[in-house]
Amino acid sequence: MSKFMLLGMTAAATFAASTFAEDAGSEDRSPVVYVIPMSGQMGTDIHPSIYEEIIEDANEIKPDLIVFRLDSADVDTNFHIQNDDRREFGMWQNIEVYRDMMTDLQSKLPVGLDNQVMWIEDAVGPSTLFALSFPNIYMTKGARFWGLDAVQRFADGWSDPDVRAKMYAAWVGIASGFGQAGGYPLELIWAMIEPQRKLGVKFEGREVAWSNDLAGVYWKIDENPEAVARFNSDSAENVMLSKGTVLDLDDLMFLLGHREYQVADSGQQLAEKYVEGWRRAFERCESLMKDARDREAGGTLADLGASKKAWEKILSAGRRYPAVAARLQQDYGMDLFSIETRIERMKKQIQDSRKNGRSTGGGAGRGGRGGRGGGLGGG
Amino acid sequence: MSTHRRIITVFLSAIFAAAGVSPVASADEHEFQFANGGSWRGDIGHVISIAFMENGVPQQMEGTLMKVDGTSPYRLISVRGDIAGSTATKGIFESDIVSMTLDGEAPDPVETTSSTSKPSASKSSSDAVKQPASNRTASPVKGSDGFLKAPKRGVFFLPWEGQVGTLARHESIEAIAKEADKYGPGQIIVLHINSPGGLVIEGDEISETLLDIKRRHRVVAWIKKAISAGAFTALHCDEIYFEKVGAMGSAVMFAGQKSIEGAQLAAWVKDFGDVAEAGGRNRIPAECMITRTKMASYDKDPETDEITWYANMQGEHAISNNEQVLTLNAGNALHSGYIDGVASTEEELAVLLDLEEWYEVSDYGRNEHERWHRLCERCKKDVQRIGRDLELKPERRLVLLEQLLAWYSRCEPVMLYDLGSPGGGQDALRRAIERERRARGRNRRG
Repeated sequence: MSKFMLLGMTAAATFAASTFAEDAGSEDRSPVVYVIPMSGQMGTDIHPSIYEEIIEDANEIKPDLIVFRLDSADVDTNFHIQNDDRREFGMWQNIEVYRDMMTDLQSKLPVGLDNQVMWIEDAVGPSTLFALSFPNIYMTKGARFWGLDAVQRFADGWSDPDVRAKMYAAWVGIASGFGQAGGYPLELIWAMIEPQRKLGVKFEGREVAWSNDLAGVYWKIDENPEAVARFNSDSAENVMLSKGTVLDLDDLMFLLGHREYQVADSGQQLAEKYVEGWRRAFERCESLMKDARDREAGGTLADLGASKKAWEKILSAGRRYPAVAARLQQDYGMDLFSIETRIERMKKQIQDSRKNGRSTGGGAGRGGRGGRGGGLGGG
Repeated sequence: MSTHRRIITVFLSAIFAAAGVSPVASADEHEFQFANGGSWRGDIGHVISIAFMENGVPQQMEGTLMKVDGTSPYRLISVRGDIAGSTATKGIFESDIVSMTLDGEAPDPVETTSSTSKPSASKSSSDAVKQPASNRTASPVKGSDGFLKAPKRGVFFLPWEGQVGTLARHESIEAIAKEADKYGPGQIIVLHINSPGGLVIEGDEISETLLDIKRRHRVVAWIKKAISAGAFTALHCDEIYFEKVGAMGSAVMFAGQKSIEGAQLAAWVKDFGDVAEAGGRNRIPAECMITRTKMASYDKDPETDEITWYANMQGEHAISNNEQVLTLNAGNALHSGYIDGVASTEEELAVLLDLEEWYEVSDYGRNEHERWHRLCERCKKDVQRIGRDLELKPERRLVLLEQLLAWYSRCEPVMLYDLGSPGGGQDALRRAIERERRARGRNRRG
């Protein structure tokens, strides 16, 4: 059995290698590989706003190969320590944004899907859905590839069983579209999303036939009716879901048939700059929020003015970085409109106070707290 | 001012005198710039001819400019004139205005490309909207049969996205069909569907519209997502293609939290099946999209690819059991022959449609879609803003209420269904505006 698998794998790798090698060899130079990092939280670190820029950059560079380097896992590998930060979990509500981001990347990059490689360093959660939309998957040794059971829970909020069945079918259908884009059969995708589906494989020549019915399959992947099918680098390679297990980019390129290659790293720089930028901005927002609330509690006009300024800075960061806006919403339940409204209220409060003569001493900053009683004289 | 304009002004004075109203003497001249490059400058009291967009549909009316509120680019103008046979005042937002001319003056030289049959309080425009024709390689010419001739065979493309009844509407399908009609029968209309479903009442309108259009054109659904009412729409079409990510189904009808049942459910199951059959498809899978109680499986003849459907699980290939509602994906929809093909790009679709290349005869559908979606987005944001301002700026209450009321005529479906009739609906708003005016009058007198 394992020998058969090994032969199958070798054949797959050789086929892929010849495809890429022919393309690169035609110009008698080592191929240029453009690496697109997808690291961190789906919905913030991995967001369409950054990939628009990367698509533009890649089109200028015109590489021979594009490698998506995916490292986005919602949960840690240590299941005994509950140390996962839920705020950093992938944002499932953006599932259709990811779909459109994927179709944009696949269709607007300067190389076709055959020359786009999905290299999974780790994928648990919505990132797995994204990875499934690529036909050429390679994985790092020990990488995980699962976490789609969240999809079937989208319908849990509906009490009516028929309406719940409708929502369930709709979400599973939409999610399944990712895997279909990657050319994977519904039996595999369903088993990765729906716990009640079992999964097994048969081999028909070099082809793998996936089945949710375990009768007659050679290999049972998932028999548990309460858990979804999960893969790691080994099991994925064994069933040819992954075309190879690699240690690093050199190893990946070697498997793809290139002993020599050039790396275009501008995409990496753009992504890193973006992630660093929004995360710094968000950190600043959190500290500004604390300041703003402290000052607001001060009660003087100067305090109010300072608080308003802090909220204006937060608003501006949210407008600049969609990731900041998403995290303000997720972590603090604040959308940009509610921040705008808060600022407008403060403006009005300041205006009213000035009209009522409370402004005396207001310009004195924190020292203005003493002015609290001053407003009473306004009438 | 030309002699002509002076005559109009005199005439106007006579009208106001007859009506017992003094024309508003305004030293402020108002100036408007329009997206089509035109502009208008004039005073309150001028009789104007105005072309504007209402609910995404071009409209035109003549009347007297009564007032201009707010600041650019959010000004709201009030025009008093004939609306559906009686004299009334209409609020029109600056950004909806396509052109304005003094009555009797030549309008801006704008090209005519469209009009729709949407019933409205005001007259439909035939010369209001200028459509860019960026993707057309040559202007169409009129043939001896009276129809326009496109330089090559192509499609009329309509992105049909968002909630059915608000963002995705039968009006836009009607409008693209009218555009296609100019080129004679037999045109290809492609609806690019990406919809989570929506209002059942809109479904009836869509059904009527599509059944009518199919009599003279080839209507194609190209699906990214056609859930519920989106699936209902797609099943009407002559041909259905999926994007690779495509999904179609999940059409359980419900109100509030509760699904329909009994006779209502039976009728919906029948309707859905009938629609599938009218589109040339088997009703068995369609009915599985409606209720968990239906089942579907099929056999496929290995030589002829002929499909035999079963309303139970006896077929070799299972599609839907009686525990689930059906949503089809590209794989099972294509294998079962329920759709005509899978295309992820326009070029791939062109091949399936048997076209030499992807060519859009007109960009009307894309423009129409973009304009309507932009308007709906603005409506939501602006109504949110108005709500806040009503709380924070009570001194502007009258103007804000008028702005809110004006959104009902600009974007009624979003106001009614997405925003839940803010202000309690149009009648309640009119009463509130009237009360506010009276209160202000009393205050002034006091």
